[in-house]
Order: sequence, then C-alpha cells, then structure tokens
Amino acid sequence: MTPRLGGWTGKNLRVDLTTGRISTEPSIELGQRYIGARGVAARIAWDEIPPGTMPFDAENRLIIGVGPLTGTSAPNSSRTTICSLSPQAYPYEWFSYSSIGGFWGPMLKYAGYDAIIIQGRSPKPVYLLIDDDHVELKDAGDLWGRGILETQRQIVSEIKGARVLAIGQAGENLSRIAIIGTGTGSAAGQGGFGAVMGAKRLKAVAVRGSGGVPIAHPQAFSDCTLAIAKELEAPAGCPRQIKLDVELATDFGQRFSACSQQCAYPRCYICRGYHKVPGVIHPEMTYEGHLVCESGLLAGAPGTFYDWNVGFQAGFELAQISGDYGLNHWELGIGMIPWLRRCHQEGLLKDLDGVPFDLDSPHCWDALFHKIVYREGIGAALAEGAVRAAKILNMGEGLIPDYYTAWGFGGHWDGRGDRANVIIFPYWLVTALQWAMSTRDPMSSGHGYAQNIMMWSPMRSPGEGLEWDELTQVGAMVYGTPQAVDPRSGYDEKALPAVFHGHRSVMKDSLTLDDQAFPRIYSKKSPDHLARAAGMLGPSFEYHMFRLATGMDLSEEEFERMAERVFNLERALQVRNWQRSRQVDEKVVPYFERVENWVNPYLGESKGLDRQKFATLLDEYYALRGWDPATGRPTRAKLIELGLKDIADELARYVPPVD
Amino acid sequence: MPKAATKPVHIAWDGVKCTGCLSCMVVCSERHLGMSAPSRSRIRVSADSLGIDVKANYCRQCKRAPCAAACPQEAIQFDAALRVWLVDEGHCTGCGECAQACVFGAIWLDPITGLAVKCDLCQGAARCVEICPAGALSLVGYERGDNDDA
Repeated sequence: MTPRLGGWTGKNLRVDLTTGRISTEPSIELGQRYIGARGVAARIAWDEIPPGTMPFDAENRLIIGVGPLTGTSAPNSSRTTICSLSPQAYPYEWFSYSSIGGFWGPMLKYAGYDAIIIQGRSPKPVYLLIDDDHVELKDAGDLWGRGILETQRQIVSEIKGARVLAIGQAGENLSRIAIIGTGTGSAAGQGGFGAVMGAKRLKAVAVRGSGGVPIAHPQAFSDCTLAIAKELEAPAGCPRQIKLDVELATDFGQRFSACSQQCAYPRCYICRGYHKVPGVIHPEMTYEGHLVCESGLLAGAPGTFYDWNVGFQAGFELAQISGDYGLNHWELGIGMIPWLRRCHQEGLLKDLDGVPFDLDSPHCWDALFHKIVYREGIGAALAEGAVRAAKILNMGEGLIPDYYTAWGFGGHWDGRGDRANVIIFPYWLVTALQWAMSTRDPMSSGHGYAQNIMMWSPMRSPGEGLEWDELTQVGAMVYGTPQAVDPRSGYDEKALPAVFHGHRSVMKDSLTLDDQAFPRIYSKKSPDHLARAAGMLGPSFEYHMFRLATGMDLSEEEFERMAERVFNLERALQVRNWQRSRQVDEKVVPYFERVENWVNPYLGESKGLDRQKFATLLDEYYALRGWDPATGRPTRAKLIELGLKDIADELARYVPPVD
Repeated sequence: MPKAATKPVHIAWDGVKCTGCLSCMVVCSERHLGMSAPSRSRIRVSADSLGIDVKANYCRQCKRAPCAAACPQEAIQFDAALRVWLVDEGHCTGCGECAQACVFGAIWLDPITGLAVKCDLCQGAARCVEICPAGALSLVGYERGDNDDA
C-alpha cells in the first residue's frame, strides 16, 4: 500500500510576465529533497538564475513559497518565504530571502500551490489573481500609484475573501528598501523585494483558495500540534510577556493579533493591533492597523538609540503611512534615521531640502517618507537605502559602520548599535558567525540562539526566566557541550550552535514556521528546563510535525540532513554566482571588533571581537560544515554526501573543486 | 419545535479575546476530514481584509433547535449523551432548509459533499476549544437566559 502523502499540495505555479504564460509544475519531489519555500527556492535559483543576473533584470526570479506545514494546525505556521536577488543587499546583490506572516500563505496552500515562480517583466502594470485553479494576470493600471492598504481594499472589493500581497509606491519606484506587504504590519521587509515586484511591474498577488491540505497522519498530527501549542503557550512558557495596555484598549480598541495566522503567542509583546487611532499629521484621518516590533519604535524613545519622541499617536500614524507606501521599518528605524540624525549632529546634514531636520516633529518624518518614496531631492539617494545613499551623497560614509553590521543590513542581535535588546559576550560570537555566513541580517537563526538565551537569562528576565547554570545545562543537552551556552565559555564551542541554528533557520523558512516560536529549547515547565511536549523534545518539534504532516518515513538525522542540504546548496549558489569565500565571510570582522554595548557579569568588562580567536572559530565552523577552511567552499565530498553531486559537478565548471 | 432531551453543551466565543488566527477552523477540518481545509470547518471565524475586525459563526446547540425543526427528513437529532444536535448524513438530502432556519448562521452545506454539517463538539472533546491560543473559545452548558429566544 502506498502511504498517504500530505503537507505539500503537489504543484507549483509558474508565471512569465513577459509572455503572460501561466503553467503548473509538480512540486512534491522538490519538497521531498528541499522541504519547501526557502529550500525549494534555492534549487530553483541554482537552476534558473545564472551568474551576472541582477535584481531588476527580467531574468531574475521572484519565488514566493510556502511549506508542508503552512496552513495546517502546526503553531505559528502561516508564514510565506519570498526569495529573489536582493536589491537591498550590498555590496553583493545576491540571492536572499525574507519571510512574511498573515493570512496569505495558508490561502495559497488552500488554492493548491506550494510556490509561485515569477519571471520576466510585464509590459504594463498587472496583478496576479489566483482563484483556486483559475489563474490570470489582471490589469493594474488603476492600482499603480496606490498604497499597500488601498491596493488590498480595492482588490478585495472585487474578489471577496481574497488575501493580497502588494507593493506600495516605494516598490513601484524601485526603492531598494521597499517591502512586500499584506494586511497591516505584515511585511517581507528585508531584501528590498518590493522593488523586484516593481521592476517586474507586478503590483500584487491576490489569492483565494477553497480547498485544503491533506495530512498524512491526521490524528497523530493534530495530537502533536496541540501538545506543541500547549507548550508554546505564553504565560508559563516564555518570560517577559507584557500585559494588555488597559488605557489604550479603552481609547483605541487595542487588540493583540497574530503575525502568523496560527500564532500561538496571543500575549506576545511584539505585536498589537489598534482601531480608530486619530491622526496627528492628518487630523482628518483615523488609522487602524498593527504595530510589530520595529514599527512600534517610530514613535521614538527619548534617551535611547531611538532618541526622538513624536508620541504614540503620531508614531502609529507614521508606521501606517510608511507601511502603506511600502517602506522597510527596520531600515528606517534601526539604520537610516539614526544615521541621518548623526549626520545632522555632526553638521554633515543641514536640513532635508529646506525642511528643518527635527525628529520630534511628525511632519518632518512625513515629509521625509514622501521624499524617499517619490525620489524627490535628498530622497532620490535615500531611496537606495542609507548604505548606498552615503556614497551617492558623499555624506557620513564613515558613520555607516556604526549602524550597519554587514551586507547592507542594519544591526540585529549583534550586541552593538541599538540598545533595545541586551546581548553579551560570548553570545554575539555566534551572531557574528551567523552574519558571516548569511546574505542578510540572520534573524531566523539569530533569534534561535542569542535572543532565546538572553530572553531567558537573569539579565533580561530576572526572576521570570532561568538561572545561568540552568541555561548552561540545557545547552549541554541541545548542543552536546555546556560550553555552547556557559556565560564563562568565551570562544569555546561557538561553532556548534552556529551550525545548529543555521539548519533551524532553513527549517523554519522552509516548513514554514515563525522564527520567534521555534526552535523551542528552554522551558519552565520541565524539571530540567528543556522544553518537552507529549514525549517529544522541544528541539525535535519541527521534525515530528514534518514527518506526521508529510508522511515521509525518515529519521530525525535525515531531516537535519535535508536542512543541511539546503544550507550547502545556498552556499554553492553564492560561490558560483558571487564568488563567496572565506575572505567575503571575514568582512563582518571589523564591525564586531568594536566594543560591545553590555557587560557580561562574569567578566566585568565589555569585549570586542578578537580577530585571531575568531579566525580559529571560523576554522572550527568550516570543519563542522565539511567546507574547505582556506576558501570557505563546500567540499566536493560534502556535496556528494548530501546528494548534491549534480551541484558539485556544475560548481566545478566555475571554481576548482576542493577536497 | 424539537427540544433537547438533556441540557445541551455548546461553544462560547469571546470576540474581544479572539485574534482571528483561524486555528479553530484548521483543527476542526483536520479532526473531521483529515485535512487542513478551513473552508470546510464547522466553526467560522472571519477577519476582514486587513485582519482587524473579527466575526464568528458557531453553533449554540439550542435547547429548541430551528435547524432540526426545519429539516423535512428529521435528519437533525439531539444526542442525549453528547448533549449536542447531530446531522445524520444518511438521511440528509442537502436541501439547505436547516441553513435557512439557523439564526446564528452556524449550519451550512459542505462545499464538497453538499450535505449539512454542523458542530458536533468533536464527539465530546472540542478541538477548537482546546487549541484556541487566545482563550477565546470555551465550552459551556446551557444556562437560563442564554438562548431563550432560539
């Protein structure tokens, strides 16, 4: 008897915008080798994006994918991963990824697709409508020039119940910091993929699905996901949950919402929705929407890294205005605005084309957004992102490294710059390795290690989290050595968690799962503080859900191998198309040599990265990966071991194989 | 109008707590159909296009059930042990009278089978209530004044 297959829908959709041709292709075999979403996209990119292709070329692919768990009862599984050549990445505009929550991804699954591969360039603005089996390109002449919110409203007024991914004016005007958005507050933000859609003249992708996703072992699967959901449940699981803000609830009808459709964190501290917030800049308007993480910081926090104050209401309004335009809040809040403020303080920037530079004035922000989106005055340069703008304007280039860690992306769990999140030596050593191996800010691996440890630590959550020795003992179980987490461990055994979380990042972006929720490691519900649910260990949750949903008969080691295969394929692509090497990886070193923000209580002093010791750490990392330490390239033997002989063969045509 | 023989048990929904995550619809379909297909769920939660306003349709397991009264086949019967109204699919013809009769919009025809479907509380262990991450769903016995009009 053939075992029942589940998880994947069985087909991918291919859309050529140049010719208007729409077709479907089988997807299960790809899923069984590369999991889904980000993993499958890496294979498609290898096959279809030749070296030399640039983000705005018609030949660039925009791959919008979901995975075998998307749209199922797996907690926090509603995410979509968008992969393409990144206009935001610098200096290499390489293939990268960005993930987005909301209702769109599950809807694509229910319509019957695992991924959409978009190529070519439309002669005129269009949007893609997917209504179950009916797929067509529709004229978007009336939508072009409108914001993300208005575009969604217009499309949904015609296609009732549809969910929409859209770009705003920023994407249309090829801003390298343009997002793809859905709902309010949900964005594929990092990467600048909104501009890829703009270059392809694709305004939106609307989807309506009435079908379902088969589950291979439905009873066992729903028992498994229920148990995991209970373990993830916030109050007893994760420290530092912020309670509902009663006053705001009265004023603005505040409600918590979900960045993932199946979000199991209703008490999550990073996402809230508000109704009927009166406008400050535009008093005739009222706004509704969500604030998620960085977007909440546009209001400012005087005396901190976000040293401005426009107040909650104006901050909310600014988040909605810039979100509607399709500007990347992360780039604005953590990079560009603090950099501009510094330029202003140092006398390099007088004003914004005559508009006084006053960050306490919401009107100044509003004017700035407008300039960026429509490329007016200084906005023409800023639309390229701050890293490129500094060069174009010949302004404050030396200040850029204070705000941008690497690859054109602002700081993230790196222990420097932004002081919103406490992270101490030695944990940012793992972050540094993750940055060194990534194509963007390594959020989906960084949250897993550094954020997890710090959020549970006595520094961030005194009395609510765990003690240092308890964290260290859990680390010993998960990584095989207490040195991986011990706050006194220095440079010892930091390559292990970097590799582990590199694979977790692939799993999350491919299955798909939310990177705040997985992997589940620490818990206060078990005596040894390692998370568990129904006999499953926390770090194995992803494997069990994958196996039960898909029906694939594989061991946990084999599942880990699938993630490792994807990680190596991505690396091979970087080597082939952008000559990725150890020398490139080491470009992150100078940033981390700067002294950290915080002090490890066991060391009593702030640290910077030691170049020599980090070189040894890189050696250890490459060795664990089976990569050549001199070049940083996957060895031929490693690729063959992972079932990637065809990749190894083609790679050998570009660079000499390493053993 | 057909009357429940024992005190019915039903789901209650708190629209303030509900985040519109749709977990209830997904688990409902997994439980009843072995697939994640919210379009075929027996509870319906809908969020507007921007995910702000949330509404729900769910069965109150009325003490006197208009759906059962409307059914020409008498296919909707009260199960005294489970304390819920159940559709006998063997007798349902898919005429849709029950859906017309329900004031809560909580019984409808399945888009694939064409037969009436409604909440059966998963035969006693309502999965939607168990999974609801926001604590917006609960299971309550029928109390006086709750649905006296229905």
